[in-house]
Amino acid sequence: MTLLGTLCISAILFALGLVTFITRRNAIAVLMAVELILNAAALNFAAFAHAGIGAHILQGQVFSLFIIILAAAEAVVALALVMAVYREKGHIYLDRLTSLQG
Amino acid sequence: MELLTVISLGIGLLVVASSLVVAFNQNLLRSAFAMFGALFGVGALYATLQADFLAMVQILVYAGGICVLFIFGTMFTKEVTEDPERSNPSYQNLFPYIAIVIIACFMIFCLQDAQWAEGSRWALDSTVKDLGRRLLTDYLLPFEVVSFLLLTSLIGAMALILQGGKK
Amino acid sequence: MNIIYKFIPFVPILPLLGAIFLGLFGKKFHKKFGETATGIVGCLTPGLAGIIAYTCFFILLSMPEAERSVTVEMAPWFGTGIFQIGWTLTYDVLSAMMLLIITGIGFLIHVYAMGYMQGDKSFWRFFSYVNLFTASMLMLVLGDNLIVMFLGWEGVGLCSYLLIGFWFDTEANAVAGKKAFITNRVGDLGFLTGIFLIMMFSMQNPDFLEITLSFDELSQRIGYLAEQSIWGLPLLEVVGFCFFIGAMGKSAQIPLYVWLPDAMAGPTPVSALIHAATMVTAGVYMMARMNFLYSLAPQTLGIVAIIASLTCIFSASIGLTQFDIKKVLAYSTVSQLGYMFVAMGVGAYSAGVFHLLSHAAFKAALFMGSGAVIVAMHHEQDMRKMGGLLKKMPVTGWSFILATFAIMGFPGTCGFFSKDEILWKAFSQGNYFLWLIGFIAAGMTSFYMWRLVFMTFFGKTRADHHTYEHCHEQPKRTVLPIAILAIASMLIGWLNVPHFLGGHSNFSQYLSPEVKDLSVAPAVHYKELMANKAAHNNHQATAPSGHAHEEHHAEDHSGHAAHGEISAHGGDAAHGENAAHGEDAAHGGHADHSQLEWDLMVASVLWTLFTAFLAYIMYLGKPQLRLFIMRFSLSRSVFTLLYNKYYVDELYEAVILNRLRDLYILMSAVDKYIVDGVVNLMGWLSKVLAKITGGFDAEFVDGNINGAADMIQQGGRLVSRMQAGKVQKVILSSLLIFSALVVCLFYLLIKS
Repeated sequence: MTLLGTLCISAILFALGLVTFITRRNAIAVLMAVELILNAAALNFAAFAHAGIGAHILQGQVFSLFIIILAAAEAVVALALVMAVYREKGHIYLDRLTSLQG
Repeated sequence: MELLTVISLGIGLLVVASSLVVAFNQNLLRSAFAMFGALFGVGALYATLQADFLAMVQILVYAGGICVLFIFGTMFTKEVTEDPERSNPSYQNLFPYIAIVIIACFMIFCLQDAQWAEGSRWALDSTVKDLGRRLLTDYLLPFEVVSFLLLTSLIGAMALILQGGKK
Repeated sequence: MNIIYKFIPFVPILPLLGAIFLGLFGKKFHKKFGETATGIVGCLTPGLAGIIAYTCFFILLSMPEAERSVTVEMAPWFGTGIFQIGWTLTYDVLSAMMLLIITGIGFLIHVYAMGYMQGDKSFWRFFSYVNLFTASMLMLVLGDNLIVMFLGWEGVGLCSYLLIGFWFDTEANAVAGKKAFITNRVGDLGFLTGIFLIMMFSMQNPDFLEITLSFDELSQRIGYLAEQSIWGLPLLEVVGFCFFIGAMGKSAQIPLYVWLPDAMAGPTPVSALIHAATMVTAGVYMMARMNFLYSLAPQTLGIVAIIASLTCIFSASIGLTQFDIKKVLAYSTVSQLGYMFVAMGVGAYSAGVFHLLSHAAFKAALFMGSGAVIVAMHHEQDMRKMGGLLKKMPVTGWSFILATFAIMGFPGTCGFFSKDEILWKAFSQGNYFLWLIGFIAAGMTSFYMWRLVFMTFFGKTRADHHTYEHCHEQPKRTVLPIAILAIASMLIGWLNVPHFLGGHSNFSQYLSPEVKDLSVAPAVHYKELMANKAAHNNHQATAPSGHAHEEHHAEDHSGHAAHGEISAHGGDAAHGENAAHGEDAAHGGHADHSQLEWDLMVASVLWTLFTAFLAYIMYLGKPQLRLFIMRFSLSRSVFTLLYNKYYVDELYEAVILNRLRDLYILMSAVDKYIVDGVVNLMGWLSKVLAKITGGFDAEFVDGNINGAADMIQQGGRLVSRMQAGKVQKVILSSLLIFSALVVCLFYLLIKS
């Protein structure tokens, strides 16, 4: 597939992630949305690496790798937070978690 | 049309379809399972992009790890996630959808116009060896920082869960 | 050379590591291993740094004079375009000397602090701060460019704040810390303005391909900068004055000196280290470092000299009447700093730096001695409740007296050589006014120091019986540093024996590669330089400018310090005539000068001895005389005026602080009524808007266009929910704005 095709797929992935992020009220769903967005970015980098853009041929792939690792770390901590919130409040609805609101 | 192009187009369709389910399905558990498809599809796309190591890592970490975590998380919080009123997209508000459609169109429009300084494509047998060398030479510092970050997040997640348990 | 290159970075890094270690793990370490171990860790890092500094110093001495400068580039810091600021250190004769002071005296004070801070509950915190201070001071001194220097400059200010307010549970200490910090901010503003002006004018020259702001680079470009002007004034005058404002704050000159006496609220080792030996001399160091700049700014130097001499006599006169032992020393410090700046102001940079060195030694000894007395007297600082302590604390007492000899300028001590050098430089330039003020202040210094000694160590004790009986010599680690510094203050002076006493001014000679003294008064020097330059330009009008580069090393025929080499490189400076002038003066006036120098020296020695004798009579021999003098209303009112420090604090309070307070009240009113009012109005308006749209919706809109109305209502709600702090909503609104922009863009594209 051409570079453009991959980029288009990643753009759609990104847009869907964004819409999930905005519309969902459930914290776990929002986390899924973040993963989708990060995946879209990583996919872009890999596509660029494949097209030979970058300082060296593997630069994009290294970036993708770091994104995956960071996303994994983020997912673990965020899920732990969601679980803690669930235990504390009995729900994980973002629009009701307003105790820090001034 | 080449076979590879056909395959990758198919995978792309899989990715888009699964993420549509993730975005719009009323049942969150189904969304979580669709997530599996989307992430697996991205892994497959990596493979078509000659990023074999990335594909492997994607399937191991995302499809095997994170996705399972999501499914578990959804199941643990079952009684609240099943409430369709609360956990699902609110169709009443049209703004997000309009905005997203506009932005997606804009992105694709821009992509079509963009001029990329495409270099030569290469034919590597396997990127694993080269990636490993890069990580331990050019990217040694980020590599170490990331490993430290992983350790920290591991401990942090455990601390969060255990502290909640004490109460 | 190689060793210096490798090890110099460790000098600031080691104390920094110590500070980090003690700051992070100090509490646990203290609990586990006890106080002594913590103290040893705290002393170890400056000690190691000191070993490196002293070793490097001797290596530096073994190198030929012209090569005594090592630049170590540790790492790049930041760069934008042609700005390339690096973590660069420079180790040359000046910074080497400062390193000796900071690590040497710093180490002794660390050891002393181990004894002084015994039993304090945040012992580890103290050592962490002090180590951090040492690190920043070393950074300030070693910094190769203005930015690194400014980093150290701010670092020492921060540590000074932390340490003055070390016992922050007392209100007065916290206030004193704040005062020091805020006063220093005023000065720092000047310093920053100076840096920015230099940056701005360097940027304007397209020939400068790289701007690192290093001192070396500045001295090469000073020729260009000297030709610029800003606000109708020569640039260098403005820049020099801006930097001097910074020095005013840090080195406690009028009008920014008010923080230093209050800073005595901190622990005594802090007063000794920061407020006597090192930090307050940062301004002097900075001016000595930038002597190439100040030599081309004669008006600024004139202002410096006047302000410095005023500070000198002003604070000395306040010192005459104070009863708090540390306050006397604090005002004495301000006054001695005044001397250093007088030296700077008359262009005798090396004399000022030499006074810095000797002052660091004797003032640290005096402060530590006073600290020992204060601890022995159970934290009593009032001299009226002391007396007769020499018998109880012989080592401290005698060291204190030796240091007092040094500060009064008794022949043979370091104060004698350094102070007389400054006075002579002022006199020989025809600045009789400066000389007179310095001379009078020297007498005052001698008076108040001996008054302090007599009140504290001699006579009958005025302390209550219990305190006096329990008063005893402090432990060795407290006393030993005092004794070492007292002896050092006896010996340091011999480094710089002037020519008329048969010496060779070794110290000035040693500094000459970096610190170029002016041989004549700054204004005269400048005029000559300009005249020479004009003549030179005429002369060289046809010659290519590359050949015009001419450097003149004044030979030291007559035995006078090297002069004539002015750092106006840049290919257009010729100083042949200037140097010739200097040599003429040296040959012709040598005999007269030495006679005059002798006379002045004898006069000042006699004068200080006389005032010391006066102190003896008034405070030890015949106290009735003092009471007799105090009977006159004039002398009483003078005493009150001096005792209340000329009411300067009250003046500042009335003129500046109260006005600021009024401003704050005004601002809060503005905030309350106008800003809040606007916000409330907006909130009210959006509410009304939502209501109107809602009403519109209900009243006029049919079911057909319910969707559109819904959208409008949603919009109204969206506006009213702007401040809800919800991430999803914020992102949504930014997306909406973005998509609206995109739509507009497309619309414009289609239209065109």
